[in-house]
Amino acid sequence: MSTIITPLAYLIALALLLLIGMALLAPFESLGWWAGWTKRDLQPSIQLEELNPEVNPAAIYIVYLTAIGGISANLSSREQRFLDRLEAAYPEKVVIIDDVFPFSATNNPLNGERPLAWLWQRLHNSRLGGKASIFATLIFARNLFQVAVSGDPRYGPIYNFGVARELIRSLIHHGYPPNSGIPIAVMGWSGGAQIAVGVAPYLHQALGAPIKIVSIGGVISDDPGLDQVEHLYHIQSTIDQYPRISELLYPGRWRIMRHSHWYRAENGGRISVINPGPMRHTGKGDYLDRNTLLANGQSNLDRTVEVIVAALEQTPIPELTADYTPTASSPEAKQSQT
Amino acid sequence: MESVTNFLGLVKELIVGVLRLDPAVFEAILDSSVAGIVLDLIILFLAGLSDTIGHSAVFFANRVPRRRFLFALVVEALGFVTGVFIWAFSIWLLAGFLFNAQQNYANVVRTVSLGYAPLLFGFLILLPYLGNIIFVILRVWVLLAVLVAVSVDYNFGFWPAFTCSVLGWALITFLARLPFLRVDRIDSFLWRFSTGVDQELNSKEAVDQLMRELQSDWTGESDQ
Repeated sequence: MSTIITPLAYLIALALLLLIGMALLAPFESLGWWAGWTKRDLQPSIQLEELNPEVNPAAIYIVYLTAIGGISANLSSREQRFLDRLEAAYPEKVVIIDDVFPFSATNNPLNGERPLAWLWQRLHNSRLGGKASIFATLIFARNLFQVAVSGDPRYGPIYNFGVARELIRSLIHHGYPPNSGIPIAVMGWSGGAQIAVGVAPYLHQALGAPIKIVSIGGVISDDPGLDQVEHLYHIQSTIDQYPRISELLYPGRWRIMRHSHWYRAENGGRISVINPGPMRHTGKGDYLDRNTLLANGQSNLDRTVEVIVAALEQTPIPELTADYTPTASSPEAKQSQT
Repeated sequence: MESVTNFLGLVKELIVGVLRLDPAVFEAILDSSVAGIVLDLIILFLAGLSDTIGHSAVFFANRVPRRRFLFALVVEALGFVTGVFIWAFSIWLLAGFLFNAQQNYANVVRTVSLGYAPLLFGFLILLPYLGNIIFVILRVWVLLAVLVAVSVDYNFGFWPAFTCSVLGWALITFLARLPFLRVDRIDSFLWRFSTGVDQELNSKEAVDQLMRELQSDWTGESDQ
């Protein structure tokens, strides 16, 4: 028996040590950048020559931050499809921005300028190839630790400022006119939602923009960034237990902490929790699944898009019990027109 | 080679004993030779260094240059050791004053220093999220170890040891806040000396300061 248990115990200990090592190193990417220890300079930040305001700007700018499975800003085909549908379904002109990798303060993808870029790429490839490798979960672990960095008051301001700086650049590059009052919706899936809240105050201050957050099954701490958020739309299915992790882990999310940032926002009517119907956090049957249908025949993907559009447009969220038939403004109808 | 192994084994026993809050370890250190004192101080310094590493985000937030980082860590760790000596002094003073109990000050320093062994894990405070909890756990652990140390020093029960330790800490905190003692100036001097940076800011203050600078730059250039 011990011939199995002893090596197993060593393996578990080794895995734990590896995880602790990864977690210990997690804050140093953003801290090193901030301190000027890396080649990636803190300056220049926002250059006026980069300003390129659109003559005819969009009614809203939506920034999408991917979930913790990503290794770069290159989205998966299902995420890309989701954003395409969202753009098609939106009744007004919308600009969607998806070129910032939220798990790096310097927008440096895991397969970018890093000593272990080759390793991350191989792990990612093995996952895409359908190989169920336990090592591929290292990507989740690495990005999860960056979410923890974002939610930690000791590191969060620096990390979130770094990501916000990249978002500001991208927004300006995409024609966002600063101080125009045009709303920016930062939309994050899973851990991306925490970073969405973290960057909110810096986007608000730098661009003078009202900030809305769309959290898709988001795992969000009691982040001070909530104070600067105009409204948080927290889309959480009743069968998705992952967002409850933050309710458990962060004392500011506990019901007894009535004066936390979270509950101040909730009591001020700035948080709406929306149940889109039975959807899983990730994988088959998740929020972006186009093949899983709800009771009314609508796909999870379309329902998620419908809920987000209604929330951002401040129109009533359509009841799930109603029979779903594509309308003139629905994604299917718009796509068939084109 | 064997003597090195024996020495390391002894160190391990000592540290494990403190972590277990075993009074016998503190009694042993009281009876030990000069080498024991050196070992004691080395443990205290390493605990201070580890704790400083755990809090090293502040050096990054204030953009301490890479070449200065190690120096800053060592100076802060030495400041930490000095703080422990001061706490030991206040305990020694209160034990004599409140309970008329006598002990050599050096012995109090030795046992209290050893009580800081849990902070050898202080580097774990770096962990995002969990580090905040580990910080509290380690501080409570140190307090318990110091209580055992003081009870061994003076053959005290729990409450006299608790009174001397907590009141001693409160006394230092109170004195440090008296304006005429200018402890804040000493702190500032040590910070400047170790880091070469004028003002100590936490990460939020540092980012807020940069945001203000960026906004004023932006506004200024826009007006031109």
